Amino acid sequence: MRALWTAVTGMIAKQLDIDVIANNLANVNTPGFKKSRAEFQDLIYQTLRLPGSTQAEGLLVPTGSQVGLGTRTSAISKLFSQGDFVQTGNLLDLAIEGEGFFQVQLPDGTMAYTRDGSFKLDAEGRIVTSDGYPLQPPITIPREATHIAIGADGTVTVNLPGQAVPQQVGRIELARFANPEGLSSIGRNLFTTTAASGDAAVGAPGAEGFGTLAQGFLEMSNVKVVEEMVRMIIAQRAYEATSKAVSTADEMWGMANNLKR
Amino acid sequence: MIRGLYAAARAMASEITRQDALAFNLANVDTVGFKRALVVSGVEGEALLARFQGAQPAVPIGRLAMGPVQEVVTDFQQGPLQETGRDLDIALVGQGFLVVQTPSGLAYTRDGRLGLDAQRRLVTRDGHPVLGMGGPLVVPPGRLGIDAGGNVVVNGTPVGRLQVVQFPNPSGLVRAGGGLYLAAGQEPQQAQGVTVRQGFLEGANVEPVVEMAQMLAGLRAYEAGQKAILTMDESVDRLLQAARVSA
Repeated sequence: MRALWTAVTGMIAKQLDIDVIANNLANVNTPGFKKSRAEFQDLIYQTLRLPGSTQAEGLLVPTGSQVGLGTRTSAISKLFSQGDFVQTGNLLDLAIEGEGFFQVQLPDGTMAYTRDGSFKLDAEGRIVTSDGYPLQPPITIPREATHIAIGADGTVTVNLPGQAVPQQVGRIELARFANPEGLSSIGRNLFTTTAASGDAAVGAPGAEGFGTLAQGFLEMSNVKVVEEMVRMIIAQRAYEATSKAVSTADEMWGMANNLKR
Repeated sequence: MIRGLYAAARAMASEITRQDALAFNLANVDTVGFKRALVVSGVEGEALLARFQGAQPAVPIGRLAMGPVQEVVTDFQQGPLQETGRDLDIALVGQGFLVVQTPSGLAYTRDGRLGLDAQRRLVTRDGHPVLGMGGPLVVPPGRLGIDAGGNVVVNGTPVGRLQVVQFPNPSGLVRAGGGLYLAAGQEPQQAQGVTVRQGFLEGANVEPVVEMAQMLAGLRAYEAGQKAILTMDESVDRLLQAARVSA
């Protein structure tokens, strides 16, 4: 009864699918969140007869006979499509229109990347994420600044009391990757590089291949509730169908046992 | 009578294989590019029965089948297209395969979930390069377009063309898992009449209703085989009892 275990692989896969969908739905209001998708592939095959092999009479077998043994999860990939923009009016809220990630430094010194542009100032006036990780390259806003302006190209200027001309205090740079889907999610809306993602290419917003910045906006999650709901229905029904395969296999086994009275 | 016993047992074993294939199809109902397994049954080993009476020549009675044999084949029918809007998702419409370079040689797939690796090569979900006409395709940064003929264009500049092949006898391909097929000695040919659709994926060609109906029918055929065995068992039992009484 291979069917029993084959069906179980399908049920496990659908369970994982529901886990991923639940995480997407839980983050429907998380700024900069990118939805994930569980993806499936067919598992190994048991070959009963190989096509092209020779039969007893010396004839070639035109078609083989292979029984598949189920399904497996090939990847849980992130979809980096653009999320919706929401206007917040907050001067330190930034949205990236197009490709690229903000660079932040983790407490252990390594770099992490995020699309979540809800920045704050820390006690020293540095621009930091909601978790206090400083933006890289570091930008410090003078304490006495009366207004902060961040241009589409990433230049940060401040108005200082007694000065008519705004002062440039730094420039935000973005990072991009050959294969963003290869980035590793570490939670808190942060990603780190892996061998699959390739190294970060750093550039100014608006340069070739980089998105531009929008001040006073946040990029919301790219999760679409209707789409997740439909996926949930599909996963649930597929789970149900494979569970029927389990009960059928069970019933057949029972009948075989009943041959001997 | 005992011949019938084995024929019925074989029928039951054959229905088990059918259930294995149905469970496999249902487990992959949401697998991109998946092609369903189909169990076809036939009759094998028909025996010619004859009556012998003393020295007279044998009189044929008729033919008796010794039970079914089954083969598991792949149903290559087109699966439904699902729109994803992702630039690196492609679906093949028509009988064709993408060519994949794996460490153990060339393989073929209809799973169009492509990606880029760290060297910006076009790869499958497992990281194997997908081949263009002249080897792996390296995609420079920019707006990626893939047209119906499989031409890959970045910012309006052609980069290469995806290799799409077909086989004279697709059912002779060996399934290797992970959505891959092996040629098994067949020579791939340039595919004719296959179009590439960017932003779409081909769903599995598994129709749950059909699988469920077959599962039901298979279960009942199995039950019939079981009843046949039980009946034959009972008949032998009666015969032995009768022999005991008359003795």
